[in-house]
Amino acid sequence: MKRALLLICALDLVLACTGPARAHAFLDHATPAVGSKVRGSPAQVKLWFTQELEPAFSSVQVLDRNGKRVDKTDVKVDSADPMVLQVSLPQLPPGTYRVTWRVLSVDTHVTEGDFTFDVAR
Amino acid sequence: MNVLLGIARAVHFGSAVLLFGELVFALAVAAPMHRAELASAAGATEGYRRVCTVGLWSIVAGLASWVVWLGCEAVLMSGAPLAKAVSADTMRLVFETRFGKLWLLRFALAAVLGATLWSVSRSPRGPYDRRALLLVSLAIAGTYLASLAWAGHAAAGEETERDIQVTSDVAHLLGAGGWLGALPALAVTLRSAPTPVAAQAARRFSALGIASVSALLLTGIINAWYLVGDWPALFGTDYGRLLLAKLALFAAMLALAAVNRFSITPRLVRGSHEDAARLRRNTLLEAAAGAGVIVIVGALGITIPAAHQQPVWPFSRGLDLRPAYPTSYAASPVGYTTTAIIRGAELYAQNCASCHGELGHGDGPAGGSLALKPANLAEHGASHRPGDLYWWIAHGIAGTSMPGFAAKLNETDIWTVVQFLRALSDTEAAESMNGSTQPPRAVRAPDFTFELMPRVQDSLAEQRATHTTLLVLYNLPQSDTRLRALRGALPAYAAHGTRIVAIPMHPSPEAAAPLERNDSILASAGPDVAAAYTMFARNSGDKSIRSASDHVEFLIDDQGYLRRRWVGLPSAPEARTGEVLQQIDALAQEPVRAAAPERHMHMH
Repeated sequence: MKRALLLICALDLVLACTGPARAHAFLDHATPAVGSKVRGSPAQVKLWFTQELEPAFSSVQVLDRNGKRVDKTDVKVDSADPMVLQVSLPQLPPGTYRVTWRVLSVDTHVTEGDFTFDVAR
Repeated sequence: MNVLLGIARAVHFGSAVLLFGELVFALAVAAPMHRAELASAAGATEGYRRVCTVGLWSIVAGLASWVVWLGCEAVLMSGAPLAKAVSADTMRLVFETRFGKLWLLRFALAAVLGATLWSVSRSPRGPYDRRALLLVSLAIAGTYLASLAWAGHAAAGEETERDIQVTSDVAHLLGAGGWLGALPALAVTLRSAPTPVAAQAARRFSALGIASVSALLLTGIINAWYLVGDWPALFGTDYGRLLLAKLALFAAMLALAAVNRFSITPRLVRGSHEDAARLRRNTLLEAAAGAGVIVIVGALGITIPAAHQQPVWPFSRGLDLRPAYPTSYAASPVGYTTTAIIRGAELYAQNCASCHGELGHGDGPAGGSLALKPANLAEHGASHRPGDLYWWIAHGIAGTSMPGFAAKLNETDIWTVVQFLRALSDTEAAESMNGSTQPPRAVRAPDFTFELMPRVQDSLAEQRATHTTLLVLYNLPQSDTRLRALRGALPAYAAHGTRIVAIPMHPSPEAAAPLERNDSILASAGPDVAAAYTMFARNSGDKSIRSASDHVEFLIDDQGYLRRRWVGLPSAPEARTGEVLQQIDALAQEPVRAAAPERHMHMH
């Protein structure tokens, strides 16, 4: 019992700190950055996730203001860094673009989300 | 679909745990008693024989739930209805995933294990003579159980972390099998065996139990560290509360086990029937609590780990005993970026400045007539939890004139204002960086996106941990000499692991255009970058929120902290270069600083 109590104290100590918690694949950051204004059309949209992705079920789309898909549909998970998803873009006219993503992490969880960026003149 | 998956998971975990536990009990408790000729008592023999029957049924239940699990995953992965999800095309993709490969491997393991146990059960003189085959079965059952570690949250972290998590999960699963999984076998033995045999079985079992419980506790702590992370998440999220329920059941099991081991078992050798009955009852209760644990395990696997959910703090005091609110420990879904700061500044000017003042000093024109002076936000922005600021902006502060803005501003807007308040406080701390790289408190450099080469996007956060950044806000033609000096010194900066990002203070297409192409240091960025960073160049005496200076340089360390600023053009640009490089060397000498303590919620 004494041993168990000691272990429970250890549990307290450990939980008093903050763990490097990870699990589902969430968007860590992106270029163009979430909500950013960029000058000139970017060549691609690159998304960094918090976890490795399953290429078979991970996708991203870039839509213009009217909801029309504008990216080059060459979505791929970076083979060197499986936490990165990217798609290339043609020359985009100035405006607001919406990036929507749906990814499957290697622990079988689906997450999805979207954000916008502005291309300024 | 999620509920079905939760049930399938619980059945599958339960059957794998039971299968392993039965084999462990047969080999570690029943077989030695048999050899010591205690098992001539009918109970122990029966317990030993049971292993094949229970084992085979566990495999059947395990395979059935494994198939259901696969079906659920196919639907969830593809987002398609069931009929389409289980089509050959989709399943081919499913089997390309890590889970799909694991599925095939574990299916094969179950089949081999089933065949082995079948052959043991056909042995004419009972399973005693097939000890070697039982040991093989135990090894396969252990692999079958432990490989579930790759089907859960643990198998996903970054490489080094993943190794720790998976190892910990493997030990956790085996610990669960060795204790929880063996309880039913113990209960059956206790029911049918005469008291002295029961006492023997209970004593042998407790050695197994103590080893398993130690493993469970240690590895449980490691898993919680990764998947929950902190106290607010434990108390404030579904995942955390499920885990608390699991811990409560575990504690109850421990208490029952302790009573069995330290109070009842020693008395049992005297052969009291009442004690034997109590031991049996406690063991059954323990097994029931264990079944509860398995149900929670099923549910945990389909719940978003606490570390990724906004915690809703349930208590009126925080961990530091200061007053707390439901959002106190929430992390901002809005990142700390120059875009957010400038948007926050607009919202602040429209909604807050009239009372709190343009610089947040609590001296706005409408604030003077209030009985209670509006708060000095430049101080409060840094001294309160961001979640507290969120709550006050959304719901007001009782007993003061501070109204709630929840009806006027949406959640994102309020978090944006909170980020602005943080910047407001930090800009005052930035003043101390005129002569020192050691500000009184850490000041984060707001993140921003820029292009050094046309169409190649970069951001501060992306290069974190690899580069020190010298951010230069310039004005032409005044800054021209300085920019030339920087270009000339670029190789020296690069040799010190530092990149130079020069951004026009007043971006206009005409001013920047001729220089933009393929310049080694001139970057293009949105107008919010210069607008936000000039806030960090102001002095406390300034009447305006932005510095009036037309040239500012910031040194941002490789962890993303602002460390030094130079306001105004240097009188001797070369001397400035030497000074900056010296500071960079000084930063490199520092012990490795903690990674940026940015608790920013990774949601959508």
